[in-house]
Amino acid sequence: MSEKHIDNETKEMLTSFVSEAVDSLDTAEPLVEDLKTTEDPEIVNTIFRVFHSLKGLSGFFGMKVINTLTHEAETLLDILRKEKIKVTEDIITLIYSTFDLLRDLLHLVSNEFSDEAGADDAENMKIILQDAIQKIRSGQFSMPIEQTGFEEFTTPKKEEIEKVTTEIKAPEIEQSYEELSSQPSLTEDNETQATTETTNINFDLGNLITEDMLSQYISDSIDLLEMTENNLIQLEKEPDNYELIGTIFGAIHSIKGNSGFMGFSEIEEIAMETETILDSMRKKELDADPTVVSILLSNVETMRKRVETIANTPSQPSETSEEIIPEDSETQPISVQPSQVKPEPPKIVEKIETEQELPKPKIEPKKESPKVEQAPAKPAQVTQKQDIRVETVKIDKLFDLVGELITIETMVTKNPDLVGLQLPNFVKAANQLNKITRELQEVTMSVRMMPLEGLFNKMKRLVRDVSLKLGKKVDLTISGQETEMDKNVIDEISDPLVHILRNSLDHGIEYPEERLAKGKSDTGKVHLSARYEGNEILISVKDDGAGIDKERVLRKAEEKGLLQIPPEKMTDKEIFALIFEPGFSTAKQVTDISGRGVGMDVVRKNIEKLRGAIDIESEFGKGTTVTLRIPLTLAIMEALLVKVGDDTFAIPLMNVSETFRVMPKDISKTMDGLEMIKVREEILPTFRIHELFKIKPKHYDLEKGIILITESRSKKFCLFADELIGQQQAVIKGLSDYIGKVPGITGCMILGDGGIGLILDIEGTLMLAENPSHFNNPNLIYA
Amino acid sequence: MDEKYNDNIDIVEIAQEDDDTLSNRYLTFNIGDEVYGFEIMYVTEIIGMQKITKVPNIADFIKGIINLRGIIYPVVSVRKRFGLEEIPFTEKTCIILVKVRNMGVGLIVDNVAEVIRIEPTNIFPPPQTYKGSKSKYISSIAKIDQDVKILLDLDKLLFDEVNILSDNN
Repeated sequence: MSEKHIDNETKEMLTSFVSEAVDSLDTAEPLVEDLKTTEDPEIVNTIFRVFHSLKGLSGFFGMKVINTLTHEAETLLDILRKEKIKVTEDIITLIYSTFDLLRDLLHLVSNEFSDEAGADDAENMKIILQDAIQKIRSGQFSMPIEQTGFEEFTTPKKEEIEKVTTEIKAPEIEQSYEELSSQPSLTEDNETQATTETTNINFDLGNLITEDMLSQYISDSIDLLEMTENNLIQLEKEPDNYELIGTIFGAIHSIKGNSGFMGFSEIEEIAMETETILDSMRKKELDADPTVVSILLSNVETMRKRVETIANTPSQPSETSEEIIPEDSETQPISVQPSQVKPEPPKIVEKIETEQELPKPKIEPKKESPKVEQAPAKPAQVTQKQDIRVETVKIDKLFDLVGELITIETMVTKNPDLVGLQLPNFVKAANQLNKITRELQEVTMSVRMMPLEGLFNKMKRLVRDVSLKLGKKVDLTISGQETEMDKNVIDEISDPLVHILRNSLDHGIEYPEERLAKGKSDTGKVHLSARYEGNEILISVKDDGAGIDKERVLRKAEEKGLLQIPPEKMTDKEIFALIFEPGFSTAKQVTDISGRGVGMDVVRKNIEKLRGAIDIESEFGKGTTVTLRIPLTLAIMEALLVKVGDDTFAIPLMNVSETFRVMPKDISKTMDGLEMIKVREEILPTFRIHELFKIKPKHYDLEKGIILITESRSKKFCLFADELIGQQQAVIKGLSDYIGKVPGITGCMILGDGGIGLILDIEGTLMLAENPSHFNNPNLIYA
Repeated sequence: MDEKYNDNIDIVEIAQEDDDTLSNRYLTFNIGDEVYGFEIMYVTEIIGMQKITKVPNIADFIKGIINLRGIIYPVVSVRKRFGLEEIPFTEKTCIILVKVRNMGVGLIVDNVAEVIRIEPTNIFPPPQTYKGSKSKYISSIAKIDQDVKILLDLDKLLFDEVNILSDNN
């Protein structure tokens, strides 16, 4: 690969190739595990298709290493799907390793725009794959499910391979190359009107074509192409809609005919190639997968550009067929030459400028012809897509701006200058503005929301690898993977979750013998789940392993000097929390999986950064559940504003169920001084915000101020404030890096008058009320 | 609301100058009768007194937070940090916004004096005899003519043995 000549366009294409390829690997990876258990042919097929399309694309981009590797992997999968081999652990590991290597190679491509640096690794893997294939063929690797035909299946297999090779050399492909070579060179035309004596057929038709016919042709073609484009997009959604393929075929066929008649041989040519692809699709030789559709769309785009160029050129149509079309690299037509044999990938052959030397039909076209290597720069221009890729930086910026907008909107519409003014029109406009900003916020938020599925799938793989490595048997079950979360948050919790899972596998789940001895099943159970609760998402890892030995935790904590409170006074929760202290590790042995003594404290730090929290529940001998509580959104929430003294507090609306004024008869007080308020049938503990936060309030009498019934995860309680201000959207801001996190306070928000309101964290407020000493955390000292 | 804080914010932007001209230059300010200073490279902005929102249950020398053009800054009373008695804010009371450890923090001082150039030859280590518990914030002493200016170690001032979450620092 000549790296020096890679232009930006190619780089862009390669980047998009890599990200799509990685996506497809990510999608397929979780299925690999299922190969073992299921006989659903769709699963093998899906993985096969991933290799298959990667092979095609990598060939197209001249990434030989990936191409070769995927070819082998594809062969392996092909055998699996054809021969219904019982898939063994070894094969799964092999497929996983191939996935890993492919990721590495793709990473190389994204950095270096070449995969050559990975050639050695790929070569090794190739040998392993070939070896496996050989073994499967000879029946060594595993036994086929059907015992019958065991003798025979090796032989026909070879024949088939033979067939594949010959089919590749099928004359049709060579013909396509010949077609290419017989084409007049395209790059020789200059961007400006080239005055080459392009002699082409159909020129004698010239005088027969009138202006009317030309404009008719143009408008027809544009209509047809637009229709085709829509149909193709539709086809991507319904790849099995053969009627649709027929319609598209018909349209392209008409364009081909018309263009031929009009003398636009180039358009005719592209149409013909497109037709060929569609024909193969019609014959079910080629799947309407996104790659193929992209190529088709790209061809349609090319044709449209050419038609548009013709429309914009006021010269005689027939004389212009070649000259008027400025040669534009972007509009290079692409043809796909599907092979006749299904297992072979579509040959993506690029019709490019042949600089004097004409491409010779290669003996092994699947390895891609040299011309592609010379100019991998002109691949498919993917023009129409259902979705677009946007850099997250841009979305983050958008998010920030929306946050600012909401703040400013409040500052305008709730501006203190407006107090007491009668401004009906302003109010109307302000309401409208408010509605739109909210809508904008919702849309912006939804842009970043993604299901947790991807993250959970990664965990499947992790559990598998780690348990194999440890020699433990683990059955991972997953629920709630459809739960959606802010993309940024998902990225942030990935590492902590990995750590927690590793801990669970390493320290939680016992070895099979140990488990059997304890009367448990030899296979450990780990359940990874996610669910919404209030304005939080709970992600929990539950195992039925050994549980946490409190005694050992305490002993260890004492050794390390981490004990602040005498052990006998500590609650279970406090004991478990010691695990998250820096420098704590209870593992008897240090393994490379976990237990290096670093990590759990980092886990807690990372989760707290997200305004989240970690809970541990554990029963010694029975298992452990670690739950991450993560706020749904990082930035914006609906809040109820109250006044306490001179300060304004915002309470998440989610946590408030009711506000009211209390009657003296409903208030009672315990001998500890805890105030209680009777609300209908319930007696609720009441905490005064001014006491919790040491503020001088306006009212000390409960009946003079306002009571809010708030609900935390576990408890319902009342909060007392001076007065209610109203409901408002709060753009959550931190209390600055310097101050960090303060107990009972999530952060702050900017109020309509430019002042600052503190946002209450209901869980923290409750903890503060119940156990203020809990927050004297010596670790928060700056050093 | 406290309109006097919202209007007429006295903002003195420190002109962005070359590193060359910034080195050896110090911003000096008054706390009581003493003149203190620190290198000007820490300073991002000097603003008049703002409405401060108290943050509960944190170290008492951190007076709270302010909103400056949509950004939240913590503000620290240098007086309180020095263990001196706090005095009511006057027209001369200023907040010096500094950036230390990549965090923006506002320092409340009695009065901003001037930006001066102090040659390294005029800077001396703090006298060993000077041993108050707060003297650790002193990085050096500058002598200019007859004047003595106490140069501060901002990192220590803001971070040394700070337990943010406590009332009794």
